[in-house]
Amino acid sequence: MNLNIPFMVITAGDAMNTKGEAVVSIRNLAMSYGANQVLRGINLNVFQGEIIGYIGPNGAGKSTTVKIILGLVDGFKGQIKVLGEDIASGGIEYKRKIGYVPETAEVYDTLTAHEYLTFIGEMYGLDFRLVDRKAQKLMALFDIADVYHARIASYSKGMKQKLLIISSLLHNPDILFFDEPLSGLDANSVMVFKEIMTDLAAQGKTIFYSSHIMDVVEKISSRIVLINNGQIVADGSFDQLSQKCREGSLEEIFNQLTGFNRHKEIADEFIAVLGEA
Amino acid sequence: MKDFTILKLLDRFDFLFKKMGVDYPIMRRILQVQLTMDERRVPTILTNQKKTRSSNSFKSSLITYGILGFFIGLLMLVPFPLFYKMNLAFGLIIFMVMATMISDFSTVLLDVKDKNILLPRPVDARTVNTAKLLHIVIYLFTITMSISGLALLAGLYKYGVAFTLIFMFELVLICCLVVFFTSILYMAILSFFDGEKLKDMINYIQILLSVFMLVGFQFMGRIFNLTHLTVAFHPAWWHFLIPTTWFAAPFSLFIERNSSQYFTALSLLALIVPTTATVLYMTLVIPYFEGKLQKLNSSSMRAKKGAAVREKYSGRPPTCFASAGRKRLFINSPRICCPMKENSSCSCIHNWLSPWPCPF
Repeated sequence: MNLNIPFMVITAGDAMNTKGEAVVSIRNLAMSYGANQVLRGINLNVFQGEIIGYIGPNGAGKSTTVKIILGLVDGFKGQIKVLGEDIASGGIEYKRKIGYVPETAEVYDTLTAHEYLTFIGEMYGLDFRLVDRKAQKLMALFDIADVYHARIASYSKGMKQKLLIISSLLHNPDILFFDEPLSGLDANSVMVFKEIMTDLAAQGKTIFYSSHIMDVVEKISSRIVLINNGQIVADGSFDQLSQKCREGSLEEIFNQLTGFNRHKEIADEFIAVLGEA
Repeated sequence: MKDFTILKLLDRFDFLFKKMGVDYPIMRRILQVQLTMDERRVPTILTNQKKTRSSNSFKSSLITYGILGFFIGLLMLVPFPLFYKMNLAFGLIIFMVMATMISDFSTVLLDVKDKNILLPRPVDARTVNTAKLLHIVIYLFTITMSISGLALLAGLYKYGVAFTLIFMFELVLICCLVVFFTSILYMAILSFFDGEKLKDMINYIQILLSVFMLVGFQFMGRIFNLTHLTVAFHPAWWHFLIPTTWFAAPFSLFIERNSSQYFTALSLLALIVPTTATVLYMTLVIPYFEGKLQKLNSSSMRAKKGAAVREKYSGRPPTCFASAGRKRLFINSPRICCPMKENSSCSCIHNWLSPWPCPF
């Protein structure tokens, strides 16, 4: 089999039909910033309890897809339904069921964690005392209880990331969008967080996990969706993908499907430039 | 978190917001957070006071504005024709409000972070926008009042209620005009440059504000020497181009009963221009802005070709003085480093200037 031909998309849809209606369904999603077309027709059905590893090269359109679903970016073409609600209808109710960890830590960093988390909780209509109690417990579990009343600006990257994760989960959402959620976390916290994700999925929550760390995606995802140049080029479980590609690791599958095999050359050139006088 | 008086005041009108389709409790909460953050942001006017990181730097900046306002208030008591006095007073007020608006409030006017934090939550756009609008109004009101409050009182004492009413009404018009000009300025910069450039420009304005504060205070003391001069005044066509004359004219017209055509025309301008500006702002500027704002955060955007060329030549002048690589590095480094961090270039200048006027 010639591995360089464009890869046939493995559609998971047929196999998953038994799981009932899709939690998130995306039809012919296209998006462009000016002349730059970022997404060219994404079709995807996500079902309850799945952990979707949403991967692709930088600039492939991963974050854009997530931002569109959350209503952060306008001007897309196609249809997106979240829990049966068309997001273009302008309703906001579906957002109550969504938790989101953005790629870049965007928080009001002159606030303290206490102020920020209670604020976010109240945006979801939760009672102040309830959020306060939950937030304190979660902060303690992540080992950052001592900075609960310190301003977020003074936090390290990892602490900020933990705060973002907590703020995305406070309202116990059904669908989670994690965009590079592990960045800055230490190895122990990563283990805790991976465990949390697995348990959440077991509870029937749906997780949309987008990352560049292939090992983690490979281990935790029940289904992997790879996008390249704004299109889905592979969709299936890790076993399905590795069978089809005859590669042993997700990293290699990724390289193959995105048509990238020049890493050695580029590295050599890079070193050569460093040595230039 | 603190419960602000202004919010308690708003609570009385919650039915109005509900009628507009705004989720009042949520909007109130957003405003509360915004106002808290305003208090914690260190305003440009105080950037050189590093040691006193008080919990409420916003309030201390208001006091600084109040000191400037004191001089404007004194100006009211000077026996000058109203038209000159008000020209000067409005000149100062417009400049100060505009400069603070541009330098400190850019974070609010141009906030994309707000959108990224609030929009993924179940908050509808109308609530967010109303909160934002109210925030701008509250901010402008506080700044304007701290600058011109004493002038209002002094005017009330000297000229009576009519003066104060005209003054207050005109302050509202001035605020509309300032918001319009500020956004036009941002719009112009954003349509020619990328977000990074805008941040630089905001820094320049901050520097300008710092310099003005230094020069301005020196200037204030000299006003009284000017009272011995006789000021001759002849109407000229170019007076119509200066906004301060529009706002000063109604005082001459209504308080001093100087009902010449010249003052009437100017007074009309004071009413027409801000109103038109506000209509334009609502219909044209806001929609355009919403789209452009995304540009601010787009650090990934490819730099334009011009930037590369500029970079290439901007290194030239120093090179003739310093050929060695290391020397050049030192000459170039402030230029490269300063605009990166907001406020940094401003505080450099500030720290450098501040010993001069006050050697004690």
